[in-house]
Amino acid sequence: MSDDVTLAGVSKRFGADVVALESLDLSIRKGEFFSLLGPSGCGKTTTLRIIAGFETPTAGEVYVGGENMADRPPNKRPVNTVFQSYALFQHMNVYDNIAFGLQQRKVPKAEIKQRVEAALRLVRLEGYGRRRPRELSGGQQQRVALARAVVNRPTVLLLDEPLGALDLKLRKEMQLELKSIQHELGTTFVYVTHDQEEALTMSDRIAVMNRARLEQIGEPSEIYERPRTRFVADFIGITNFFSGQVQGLDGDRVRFLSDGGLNLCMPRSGSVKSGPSTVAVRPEKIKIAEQAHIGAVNRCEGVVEDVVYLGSTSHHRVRTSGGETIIVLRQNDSGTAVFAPGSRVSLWWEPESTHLLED
Amino acid sequence: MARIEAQARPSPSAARRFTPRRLLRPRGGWLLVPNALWASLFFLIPLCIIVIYSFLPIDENGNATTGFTLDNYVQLNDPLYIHIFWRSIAMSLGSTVLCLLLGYPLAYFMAMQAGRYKNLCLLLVIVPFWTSFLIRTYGWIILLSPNGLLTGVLKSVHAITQPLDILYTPFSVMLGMTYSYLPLMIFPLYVSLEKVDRRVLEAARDLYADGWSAFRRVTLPLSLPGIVAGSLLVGIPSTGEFLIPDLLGGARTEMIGNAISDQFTQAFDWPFGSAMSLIMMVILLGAIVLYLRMVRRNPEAGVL
Amino acid sequence: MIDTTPRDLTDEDPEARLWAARPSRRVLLKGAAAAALSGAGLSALAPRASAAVNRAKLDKELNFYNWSAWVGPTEVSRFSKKYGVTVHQDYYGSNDEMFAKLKAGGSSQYDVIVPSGYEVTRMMRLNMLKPLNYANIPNAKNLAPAFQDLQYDPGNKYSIPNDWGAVGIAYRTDLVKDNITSWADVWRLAPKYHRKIVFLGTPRDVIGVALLLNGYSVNSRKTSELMKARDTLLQIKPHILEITSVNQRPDLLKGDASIIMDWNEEIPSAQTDKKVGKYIKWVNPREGMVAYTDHLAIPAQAPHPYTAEVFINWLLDPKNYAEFVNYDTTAFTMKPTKYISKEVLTSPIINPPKSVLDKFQFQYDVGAATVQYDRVWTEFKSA
Repeated sequence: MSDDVTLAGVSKRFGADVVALESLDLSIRKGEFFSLLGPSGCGKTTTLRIIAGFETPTAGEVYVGGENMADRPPNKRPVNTVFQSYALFQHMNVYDNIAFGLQQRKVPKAEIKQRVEAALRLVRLEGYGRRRPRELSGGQQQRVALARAVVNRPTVLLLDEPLGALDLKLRKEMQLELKSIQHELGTTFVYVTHDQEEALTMSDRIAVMNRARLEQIGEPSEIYERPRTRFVADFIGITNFFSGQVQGLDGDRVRFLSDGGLNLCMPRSGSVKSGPSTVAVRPEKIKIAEQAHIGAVNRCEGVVEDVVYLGSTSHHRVRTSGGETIIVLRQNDSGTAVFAPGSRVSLWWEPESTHLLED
Repeated sequence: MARIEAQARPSPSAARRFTPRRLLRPRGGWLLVPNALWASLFFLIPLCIIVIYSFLPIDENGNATTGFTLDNYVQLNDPLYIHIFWRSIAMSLGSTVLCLLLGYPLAYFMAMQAGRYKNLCLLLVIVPFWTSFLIRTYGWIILLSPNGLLTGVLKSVHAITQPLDILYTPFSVMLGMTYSYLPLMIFPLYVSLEKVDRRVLEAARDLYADGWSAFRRVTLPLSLPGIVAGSLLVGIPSTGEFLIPDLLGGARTEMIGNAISDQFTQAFDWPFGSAMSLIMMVILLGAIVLYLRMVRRNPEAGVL
Repeated sequence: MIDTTPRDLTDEDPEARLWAARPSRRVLLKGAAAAALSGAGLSALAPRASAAVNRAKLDKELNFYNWSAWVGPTEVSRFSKKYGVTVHQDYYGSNDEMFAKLKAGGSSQYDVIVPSGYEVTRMMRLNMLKPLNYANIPNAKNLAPAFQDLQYDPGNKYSIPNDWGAVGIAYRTDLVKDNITSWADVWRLAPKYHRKIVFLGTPRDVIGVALLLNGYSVNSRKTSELMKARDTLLQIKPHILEITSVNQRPDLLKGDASIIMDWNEEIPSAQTDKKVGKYIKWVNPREGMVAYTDHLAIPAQAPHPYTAEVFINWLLDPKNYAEFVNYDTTAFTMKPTKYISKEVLTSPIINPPKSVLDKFQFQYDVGAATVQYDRVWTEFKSA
């Protein structure tokens, strides 16, 4: 079976009122780096805990490595967790922390020594065996927590926002390290985060969650380029939203009229419903110039309201004649002039960059 | 040249300007003054008095008199008193262990499983303390008396035929001491167990530990500070206990506290009583130092 | 009239035996009735007594420092009324308390105190007492012969014995089928009544009993004799239930103990218990009894010495003295008079025959040997 973790119809209620998960269906492939992405309270941590066994689903089934995990307590699952707060054993040194799981499973002493040292090498903490957790920095503790989990060679490794407490630079470093370790080990990683950039960087696939439901699953590029719901489009990166109505179909093209009077067309994907809908366009896909070139399809005129200079790029906020606001992202390559606030500009973008949202 | 020299040597007024004045300002150490006064007045000074007394001889009327002698200490080196010391230490050790065995499960339950009833449990543990210690001890006498409540209950369920004969024995003394000191064991245990991070326990389970292993390897060592604090809070005062051996022991199980009390209130041999007190203090201090050292050296080893 | 109210048990002090209870209304009324009845006799005495009293020399006030409720119910107020002296009464619970108070400056506060014999000796040595002028205390001649020559205060220069007590045996005839008449009986029967025996918590009393048993003086200073006493005590120790100066009577009443060592003056009240009082029997042991006395005395720096002596004389007046004796049902040191109630006079506990009084051994200070007594006591308690 190439799916390491499967959740079938899993839902979780706390008490009578709180719904943490609503009928979740998920399949995670073997060896993949899978992220659960969403804002606080979306249910991603609950999902992780259900896979680990710390919570029992109110309905539905959990399979790990092909086996049904019902009635299996956490200590009997081939799963290990890296906790957000590291949860290291403060009263033991680094070596004993890492060796804990192996000792519990009665692995022979010589083998323990070997594997612990290999784990320390993996996380680049060789020689730290005798240190105590309180003597280590945040990043180092993070790595001990990771080593402690991977040394057991679990089928699935669960990581609950492990980089949350680190500063930006260290976080970026650790992201790359985690990715490379995962490659080296080949273990399935299930990674929970609220940082969309992190998810995009590290994951093979992302599951975007919101309010106890799954919004969209897919590879990072697909999530980014072809968001299916307004939430996904909004949560990941910056998006321009156009509310309006679908006018009709022209073969495989969809015609759309925005509330601000823009005529847009986009390729058709899946079924199209009529009535009020929303269209999403990424800022970097929009071209800006004093004058649009001839034949530009999705175009409009407007006035630049504000420009934010970000070093390599600039964000232009343009107000169209129809009253809509569009954000345009533009590379600051040499030679091109900046459009100062107040200047009249033309904007246009490709139909392929235009997405009709499902909600 | 001269100008340079003049510049090199600082003027006296300049030197004064650089006196570190912050050393002259008290920095919150004044907060300790009331406590220091209290400790000196009610602890240090009486302690000194006892030390002095322990070296005084007594005259033919049995009153302390001026002079210096080691007789009071020499007198203690006697099988009779050594036996009393050992018995006190044994009883105190026994009560401490009993308190630990009884108190730990309760503290564990309160910290880990009582949830929103936590505060109610704490209240229930502390309520007996609101009643006078003497009255509670007398309550035990009524309970354990051969014609008392316990005998009555056990007889009515036919568990025994003869009346219980446990009052005024070393057993009832140990029972009384365990009962009175139990809250002092429960509170530190509760506090240290409460501080155990639940996630750490989850981590242990995640790492293949079952309930018992997680307890033994994680919870128990992490609660060690509580165990130490509780043992000291129980063990030290109970060694010098004299009311309970007097009341519940029928004054026939002599502990060091009784012997000292007798010296001061009946024999009026204050020097000897002082020497006895000091030796007891020294022994207890030694025991504490040994205990703490043993615990610090081997924190994962646990206590028992 | 035997006092029926229960005694306080809140104090563990060995001197607690000298506490009397709160009076019941019956006792108060009977006392008042007795006073009214003997009003005629009083007038016969009174002129002689008051003739000696120089009213001009009397102070307006008197400070009486005494054991709780250890005085007749109307004695003091009648004295006040008759002589116009306001009597302030203050109370103590133990000799040590009284001694400490006096040492702390109370010596110039109190006029009349009631120390035990032991205490009198101590205070005499420390010059804390004023010699008594017996010209002002003619009633002192009523002192019974048995108490005229005590060693506490040879010649009674500083004090007058006021009441006495002794250590004997009390047992439950319903629980003990044997007849007990001596300490030897108690020792012999101890294994049979294992853990049904209670001893007192005062070292001199208990060791004194052991010395008596071996035919020695209760004030012995000889090591060999004390060692024998120790062995005797160790022999009975395993059979002892409790060592206490407070619980012995409750234990006997409850039936937890069948045989107790106790002081005589508290037993009559125990015998009035509705359920088991009739089974409580007192024994004046054949070998003899450890005894002690309480005295009336005046502190060296008493502010009103003359008035104090007049007051003491008043207290020793046969009628007044009898009011005290009847009220507290105490053993008395004055010669018996008709004013003392029949119950008291016929009680073998409070008024034993001369043969018993002859075998009294009063407890005196033993000087340096105190250390040895203490050692014997510690061995006994820790065995």
